[in-house]
Amino acid sequence: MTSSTTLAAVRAVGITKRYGSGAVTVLALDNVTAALPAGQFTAIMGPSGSGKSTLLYCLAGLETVDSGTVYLGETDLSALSERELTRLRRSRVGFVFQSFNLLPALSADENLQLPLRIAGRRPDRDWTARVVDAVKLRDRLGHRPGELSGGEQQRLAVARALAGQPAVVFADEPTGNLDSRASADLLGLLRRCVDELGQTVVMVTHDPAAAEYADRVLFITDGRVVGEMVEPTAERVRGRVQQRALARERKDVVS
Amino acid sequence: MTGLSVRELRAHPRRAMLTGVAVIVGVALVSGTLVLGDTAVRAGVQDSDVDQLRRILLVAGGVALLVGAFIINTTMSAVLAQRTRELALLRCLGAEGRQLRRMVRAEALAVGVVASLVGLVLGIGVAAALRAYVNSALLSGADLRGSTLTVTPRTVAVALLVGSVVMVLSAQAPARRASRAAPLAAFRGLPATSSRPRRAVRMATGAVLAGAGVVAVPVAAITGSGPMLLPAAALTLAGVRLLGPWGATPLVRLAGLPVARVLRLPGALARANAMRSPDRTAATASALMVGLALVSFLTVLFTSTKAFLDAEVNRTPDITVQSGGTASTGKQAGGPVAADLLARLAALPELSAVVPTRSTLGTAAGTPAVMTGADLTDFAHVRGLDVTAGSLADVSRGGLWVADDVAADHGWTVGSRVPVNLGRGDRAFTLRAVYRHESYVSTTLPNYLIRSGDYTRLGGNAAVGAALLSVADGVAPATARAAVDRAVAGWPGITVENRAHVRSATVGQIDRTASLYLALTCLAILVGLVGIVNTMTLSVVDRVRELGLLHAAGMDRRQLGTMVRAEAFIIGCVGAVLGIGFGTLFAWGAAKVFEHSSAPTQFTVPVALLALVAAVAAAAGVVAAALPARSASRVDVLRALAAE
Repeated sequence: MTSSTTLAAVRAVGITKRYGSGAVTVLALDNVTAALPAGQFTAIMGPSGSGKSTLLYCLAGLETVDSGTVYLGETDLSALSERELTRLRRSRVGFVFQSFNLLPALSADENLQLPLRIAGRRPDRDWTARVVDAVKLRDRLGHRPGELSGGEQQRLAVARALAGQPAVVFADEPTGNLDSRASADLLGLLRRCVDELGQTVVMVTHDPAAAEYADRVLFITDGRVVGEMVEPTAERVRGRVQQRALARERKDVVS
Repeated sequence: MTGLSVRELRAHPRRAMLTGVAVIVGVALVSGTLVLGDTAVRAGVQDSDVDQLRRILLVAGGVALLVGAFIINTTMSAVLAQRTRELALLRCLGAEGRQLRRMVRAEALAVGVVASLVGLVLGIGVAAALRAYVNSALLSGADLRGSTLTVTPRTVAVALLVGSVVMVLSAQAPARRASRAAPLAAFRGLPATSSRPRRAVRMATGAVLAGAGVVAVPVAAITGSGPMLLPAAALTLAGVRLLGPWGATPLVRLAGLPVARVLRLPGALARANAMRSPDRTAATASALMVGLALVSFLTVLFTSTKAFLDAEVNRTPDITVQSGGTASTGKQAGGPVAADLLARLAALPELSAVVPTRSTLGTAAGTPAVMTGADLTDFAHVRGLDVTAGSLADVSRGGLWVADDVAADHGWTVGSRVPVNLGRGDRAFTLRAVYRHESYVSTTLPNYLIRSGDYTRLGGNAAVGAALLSVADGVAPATARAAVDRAVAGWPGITVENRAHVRSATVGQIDRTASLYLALTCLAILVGLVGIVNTMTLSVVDRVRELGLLHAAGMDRRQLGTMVRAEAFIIGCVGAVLGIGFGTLFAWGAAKVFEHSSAPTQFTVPVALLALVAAVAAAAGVVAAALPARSASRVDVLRALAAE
C-alpha cells in the first residue's frame, strides 16, 4: 500500500480497531498498514465516518488498537503502559485540535510553555524564539486567548504543539473552525514547520484545499487505506474524492 | 502545575466561591466558638451556660462542616465535569493523572485557606453576637460586658486547619475522578455528565450501611444504649450517600409528579432535569437532608420531653401552699402552714379540697427516710400518682406507698414488710403501692407516704409542711389562685404555687434551650441551601445551550425561571422528606433510650411543626434558586446556541 517504510516517523502495521460490542460492532479501522515519513507533511483524508480520526488517535497512542502494531519511531506503542504513554505524549508528540483548546486563564506565552511546565522541562530559548517567529505571535505573547483572533489562537496552538520539539505533530481538522484566509495562513504555517523547522506533521482533514499543502495524502474509506497521492494539488485531490464518491454510489446502486 | 491551579482560580472566581461558601460558614461557627471561649476564660467567667453554649456551637459548627463537605464534594465533581475538556487537554499535553490530582488538590487547598480566613473573620462576628446573647438577661450568671474578644493563635490555627482539611478531604474523590480524564475528550466535546457508572458494589455497600444504621435504631431503643445511635447515624448517612444516585430517581419521580401537574411543561422539564444527573441531585438533597434531620431530630426530642413533662405537670396539685420556698422561688426558710390558715383555706368556696401533709426525718429499714403523712384518699385525689405496682384502693392502717426509685433501691415489692421508725421504735408497714417518682417536677411528691393516723402514732412532726389544694369545679384557676393569695397574705414565709407557674418554670426552660439549639442547627440547613444554589447554578451553566433552544422554541423567560425553581423545589422536597424521616426515626430511638434515664421523654411526633419545617425547607429551596433562575431566564439565545 505505502511506498516507503524507511525513515518513518510513525508506522501502523495491520491495525484494527472496533467500537461497541456484539451486534452493534463498528469496524473503525480494518487492517490498516501505513508509514508516515519523517520530515514530511502527511494529510489523512476521507468522508465522515471513514475512520480517519480514529487512525490519527491510534497513531498518536490515544486509542489502543485491537490488533496490529503502531510504531512511533522505534517505539512499539502497544507495549507501553498508561504512564509510559503519558511520558511519550509529553516528550515526543504534539497536538493541534479543531477547537484550539487553549486555557483561557493563561496568557499566550504561558499556554505556549504549558507542555514544558507539565513535563518540568526547561524551555530551549532558541527553539522557542524560532517557534514564536514562525507563528508570528511575538507581539501577542502577553495576551489572553480570548483577546486573540481565531487564526491567532490556532497559530498559538501550533506553537504549543511545537514547543517541546516533538517527533510528530498530530492535527485533527485544524482549520475546521477557521475562515478561508486564516485557514490558508495556518496551513502555510504547518508547511513551514516541515520545511523550515524540520518537523513531521500528520493532519486529518476533509478539505481538498487543505490537503494541497501536504507532501502526501492518504485516502481512507470504511476503515481502509484506499489510496495515496504524492505532491497533491487541490484539483487532483478533489477529482480523486469525487471519483471515489461516484464509485461508492455505483456500488450502492448495484448492491 | 500549582501555579496553574492558582491562575485557574483567579480566572474563575465564581467557581471558587461556590466551593468555598460551605467552608466559610462551618469555620465561622467553629472559630466563633473558640473566640467566645477564650474571651470567657480571659474575663475569668466560668459559667455552665457559657459552656453549654460552646458545646452546642461546636456541634453546630461540626455539622455545618459535615454538610459543607457534602456540598464541596458535589460542587467540585460538577465543576470538574464541566472542565473535562480542559483536563483532557492537559492529559494530551503529557500531564500524568497524578499531576491532575495534585492540581485539583492544590486548588481545593487554596480555596480552603482563603475560605477559612473569611470564615475566621465572620467567626469574630459570630462571637460578638454570642457575647451580646450571653450578656442578655436570658442567661444567668455570666457577664462578658466590656470584655474584648480574644483571638488567640490557636483559634487561627484551628480555623485554618479545619477549613483546609475539610476542603481537601472533600476534594479527594473529585480529584481522583479528574485524574482519570481520557485524553481523547480533548478532541471532541464529550457530554459533561457527572453521573458515574452504576456499580453494584457501591449499591450493595450503601444498602448494607444504611440498613445497619436503620436497624441499629430499634436495637438501641430496646437495649437502651444511647451511644449506639451515633455510629448508627453515621452509617445511615454514609449509606444514603452511596445509595443516593439510585434512590434519587424514584424519589424525584414521585416528588415531581404534583409539580409537573401544577406547572405543566416547566414542571415536567424540571422533574426530568432532576432525574438526569441523579448523583448530583442525590448529593444536593442529602446535604439538605443532614440539616433537616438534625432539626427534626431535635424538634421531636424536645416535643417528646415536653410531652412527658406536661404529663408530670398535670399530676401536680392545682395549687400548693407550703412553708418556705418552692421550685420556682428557690429554697428559703419559713414557718409551718398554721392551723388557722388551713381553716381559712378550707373555708374558701373557690377550693374543693385542702390536703395538709406533714413530714419527718426518720428511718425506713434502717436508712434515713423523709416520711410523709397525709389522708391518703384525699392526697391521691388532689395530686396525681402514676402507679407502677399495687393499688391506691387500700388505705387502711399499716399501709405504705413509696416512689419507685426508693422501692428499687431497697428491693421492695408490693407486699414487702418495711420497718419504719419516727423516733418511737420500728413499726412494720406493708408496701401497698409503688408510684413513679417524678423526674422534672418532684417538689410536692414525697418518697414515702403513710396515713395521717399512722404518722401521728409513730410520733411524726405535727407541723404541716404543705397543703395541696384542689380548685372547685367551674372556678377559673387564676380566680382560685387570687383567693388563696389573699388568704395567705397575713402569713410570712408561706409560698403559693399553682400549676401554670410550674409549667412556665419547667416547660419554659426547655423552650429556651430548644430555641437556642434549633437556631444553631438551622445553620446546617443554611449550608444545605448553599448546596442548592451551587447545584442549580452549575446546572444552568451546563444547560445554557438547552435553555437557549427552549427559549428559541417558544418557552418564555418566566417559564425558564420557573423550570429552574421547580427543580430546586423538587430537590428540596426530597431532602426534606428524607431528613424529617431519618430525624424522626432517630428521635424515636433517642426518646426510647431516654425513657429509662433521669430525663425521660414520651415519644410524640409534632406533625404540624414538622410539616412546617418541610414547607419552609422546600420554600427556602425555591428562594435559593432565585439567582440561578434569573440567569436561566436571561439566557441569550444566539450566544447559547453558539456555545459548544
